[in-house]
Amino acid sequence: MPLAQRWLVPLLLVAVASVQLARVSFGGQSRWRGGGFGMYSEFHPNKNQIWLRALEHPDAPPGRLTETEGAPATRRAVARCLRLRSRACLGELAATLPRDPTPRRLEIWQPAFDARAGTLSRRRVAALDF
Amino acid sequence: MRWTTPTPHRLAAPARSAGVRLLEKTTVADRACGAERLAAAAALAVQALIFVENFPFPWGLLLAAPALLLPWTASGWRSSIAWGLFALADVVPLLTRPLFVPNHLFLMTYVALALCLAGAGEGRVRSMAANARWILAGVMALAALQKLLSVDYSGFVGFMIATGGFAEPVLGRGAAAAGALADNAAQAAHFLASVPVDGATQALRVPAGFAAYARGAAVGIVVVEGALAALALFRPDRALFHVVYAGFLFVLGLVRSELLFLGALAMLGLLIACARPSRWRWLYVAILLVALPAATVRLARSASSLGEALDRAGLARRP
Repeated sequence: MPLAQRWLVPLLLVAVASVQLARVSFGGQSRWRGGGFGMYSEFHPNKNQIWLRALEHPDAPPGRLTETEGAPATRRAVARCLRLRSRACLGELAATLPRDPTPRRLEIWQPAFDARAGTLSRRRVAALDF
Repeated sequence: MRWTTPTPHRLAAPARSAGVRLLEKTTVADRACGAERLAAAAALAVQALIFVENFPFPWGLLLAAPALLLPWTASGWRSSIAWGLFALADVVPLLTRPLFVPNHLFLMTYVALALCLAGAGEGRVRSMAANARWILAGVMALAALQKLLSVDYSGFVGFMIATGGFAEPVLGRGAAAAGALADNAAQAAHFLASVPVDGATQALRVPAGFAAYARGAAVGIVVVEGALAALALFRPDRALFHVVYAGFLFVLGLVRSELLFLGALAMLGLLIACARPSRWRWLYVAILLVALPAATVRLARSASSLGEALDRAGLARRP
């Protein structure tokens, strides 16, 4: 069996998965995406949330950004940031939001479940002031 | 080596029609029962559905049409060019929307590339099976590795069990259990819809000893995936491999109805089983005969290119 016929596909699979694992470890990428076959190893990215807070009004409730509301560019950026939980991605998302002179903060929250206590919680995994 | 006069009843059709002399022991048509064609047809059916799922209207349907026609051709289903083109088409969404495509698209791309490289010679079936074996071993090993590396894995499994996301048909039997699962799902949805606050938690109704149960399930999944990776790599011709793998697919179908992924995994099993004459292939065919029609129905009811085509024709039936 020729070498390429034998090894090209397994090597390609390993190469793609290695890139995905590196992006998960260092870039905040969801394990569910990118060819690493990490489905069901953590919460699905659609359970992640992105919230926008006005820093000058800490008591005001933050607004949630979703994949289905807002300008198309914002929706695309939200969808991307749900799967790529990083400050860099939040920077791209901030650039699509309407301009506002007051300082604001974008936050990505991810659910977590403690099976011992039986409690569901959320933790902030990335934030960006802009 | 001895040459003999060919007699029509001893030669297979291609040689008879060509009227050529063959070695007495030449194998003209190995596996004439069509195992290779069966495996290719299964791969083409899965490929067609993956096109429908991942390409917008009308491209999904335009790409799916040749994939569905090839099994009916004389030799198009084993054409390296056709499989190469399918692999190229698969790569388009992988490169343009890598964060949004499902993992079975990656899996199908590897299979299409493997079938493209397998050539048309007598080693094709062996090459197909060898690549399918490596792909399956890789997928299972990665699935296990990702779970071992994830800090949230055990908790995630617990959450899925507690809210009916895993094994609901089994765990949800009985009014009390079904009520607890539904309550937990509603409470979780309500909590996740609220404004997030550091340290805020939501208690779910779980039985005593739930953590050990969840951890046991989490470990069990990793062990089975690891075992399947090892069996696919070292013992793909043993009955044990097919029993464990078919059992895994059956349970996967019950626990989570990821029909297209299930179909893609069954297709890998079929490609492996077709390397040797064995009846195990019919087990995978049976799984595919359930999974693929169900996946088609689901795609028809979703925002896929098939769903949009039915929508435009006024035939859509959304859930």
